[in-house]
Amino acid sequence: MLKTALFVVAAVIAAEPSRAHACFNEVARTVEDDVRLVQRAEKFLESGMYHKAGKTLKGWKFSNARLRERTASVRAIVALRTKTSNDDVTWVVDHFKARTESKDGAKDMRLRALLAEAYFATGKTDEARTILADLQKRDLMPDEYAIATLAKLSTGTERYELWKACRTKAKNKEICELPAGTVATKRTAS
Amino acid sequence: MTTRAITLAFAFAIIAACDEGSAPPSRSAAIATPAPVARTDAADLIAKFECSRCHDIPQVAPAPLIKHCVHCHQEIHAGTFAVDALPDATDAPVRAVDASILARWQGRISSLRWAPSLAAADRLRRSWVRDFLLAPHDVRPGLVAEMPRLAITRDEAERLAAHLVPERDGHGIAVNSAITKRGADLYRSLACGRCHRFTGAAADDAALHASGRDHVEPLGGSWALAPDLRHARMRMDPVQIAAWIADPRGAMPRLGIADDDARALATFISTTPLAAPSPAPVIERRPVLARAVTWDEVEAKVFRRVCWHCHAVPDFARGDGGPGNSGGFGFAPRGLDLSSYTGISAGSLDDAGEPRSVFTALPDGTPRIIAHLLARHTEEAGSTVPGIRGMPLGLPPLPLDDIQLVETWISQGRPR
Repeated sequence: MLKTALFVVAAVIAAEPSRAHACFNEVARTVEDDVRLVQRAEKFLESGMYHKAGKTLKGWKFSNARLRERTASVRAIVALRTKTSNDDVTWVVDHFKARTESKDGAKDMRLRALLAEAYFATGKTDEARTILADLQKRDLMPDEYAIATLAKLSTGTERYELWKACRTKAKNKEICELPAGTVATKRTAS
Repeated sequence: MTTRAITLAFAFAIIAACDEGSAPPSRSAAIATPAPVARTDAADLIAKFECSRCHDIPQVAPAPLIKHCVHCHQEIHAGTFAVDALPDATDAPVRAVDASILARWQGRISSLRWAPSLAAADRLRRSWVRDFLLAPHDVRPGLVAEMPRLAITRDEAERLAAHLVPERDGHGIAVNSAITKRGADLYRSLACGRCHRFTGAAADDAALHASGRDHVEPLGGSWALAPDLRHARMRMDPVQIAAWIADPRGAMPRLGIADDDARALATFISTTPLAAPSPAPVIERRPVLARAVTWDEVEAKVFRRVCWHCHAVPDFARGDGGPGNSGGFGFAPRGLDLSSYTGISAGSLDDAGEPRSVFTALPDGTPRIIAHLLARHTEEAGSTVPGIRGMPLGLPPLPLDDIQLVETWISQGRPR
């Protein structure tokens, strides 16, 4: 009953016409309820609505390995970005480490950035900085979260430039916030 | 290619003038067919370049529906599209695509509804097929898509051409003014111009051709697949043109005319003078806009409209992410996902399979992704940009306004 109700809710939410032009991507998105459910959660993630993303997938288990992996990633990102000081997110490190070491994920810079974010959240700042500095150098930072994390690990002009880049990219400028007084202006930093 | 066409046209015109009033010889030495080369097998190349994703090929099974660009689009337009072609089932029952969704797709899909069958490629000149594979250009003005510029070597193109075009001992057709005039009259009376453009020829009638779309297209792609006859003399020897007119296959309708008339038409098509093609328009790259441009805007107007079809993410809907992500049509995987902000920001894979930014400035300062979009305009104008493949592959170039939008977004620091 609950499952049916969730299907109905998911179907209603997803009723807005897709802008996608892809054939089979859209076919799967349109006709498969479980795919749509995961996509809905990912959309919430993209919009920074972490609690909604987590709730969307709460209690769901999929037999399809790919969907299971995506669901686990959604849950890991939710845990990472809603973390309080008491939460242990070591498992998030493990999750993204496994994904970056997988055949499909080895060249995915998004997963690498998420691993760095998880390292940072668990106090492994050297590991986080190594990954993010490499991505920044190659202009492969996937989003404002990665930039904000590297800003937190930087000082002086580098910190200022990263803070500025983060604010340019982010819709939600709060993501870029740094402890008061730690962002120098370009002039004072240099 | 254009120079060759003009030279040949000139040569044919001279031949036609010289032959005026003389008795037609049984065989023309002037209209020679190429020396035959033994037919070779090229199944490995057909598989490598995934030719069967668009073309019907004798003795080659079509690609499965999930990978077949043309069959997929045709079934959507026919309303017969079935979702049971989706790979591995998931927990939820798969439902049929309802009529309203199909109608939405039908309204969007204009490209790749038809592609020429390679069963008819045997009528072509082998050398033309090879050259076309190496440097494709727009042959069929009624089709939105055209042959993509593949990463194919000369040797591979030679082998494919040899596979598609059989050994043939060709003959020319006698040329004189009477037969040419007869051909011109037939061209008009049969309304060939309703399906065919004949750019550069006096007989070309753009308005008649445009009117043909509504009359002929519903019959099954005859209009869309009709080549611009400007290219016919390069593509086929006159004997093959005559044979094709007399006994066509595929989308070309059977005209029911006598062999002599078919030869007259072939002669006219092969010899009528052609004007030089119109000069390609100059590509004027637009300056970046002064107003703010966000990801939401470039995504909606550009990336989701055009690019996403081939550059998606495999995870998105359990597909393969498209050939621009996981590879296809002979291209190595590029890992490029243009379906999300994080996807485009995370870059693509270079020739060595290493990640690189799509925003990196090339030596002239142009961001890489912009260079690819501009290169498609250059390709449409008949040239190429070394080291840069025009995108979207095999489709019309993006309007310069759209490229300007993307470049503005990049120059502003790529805001969400």
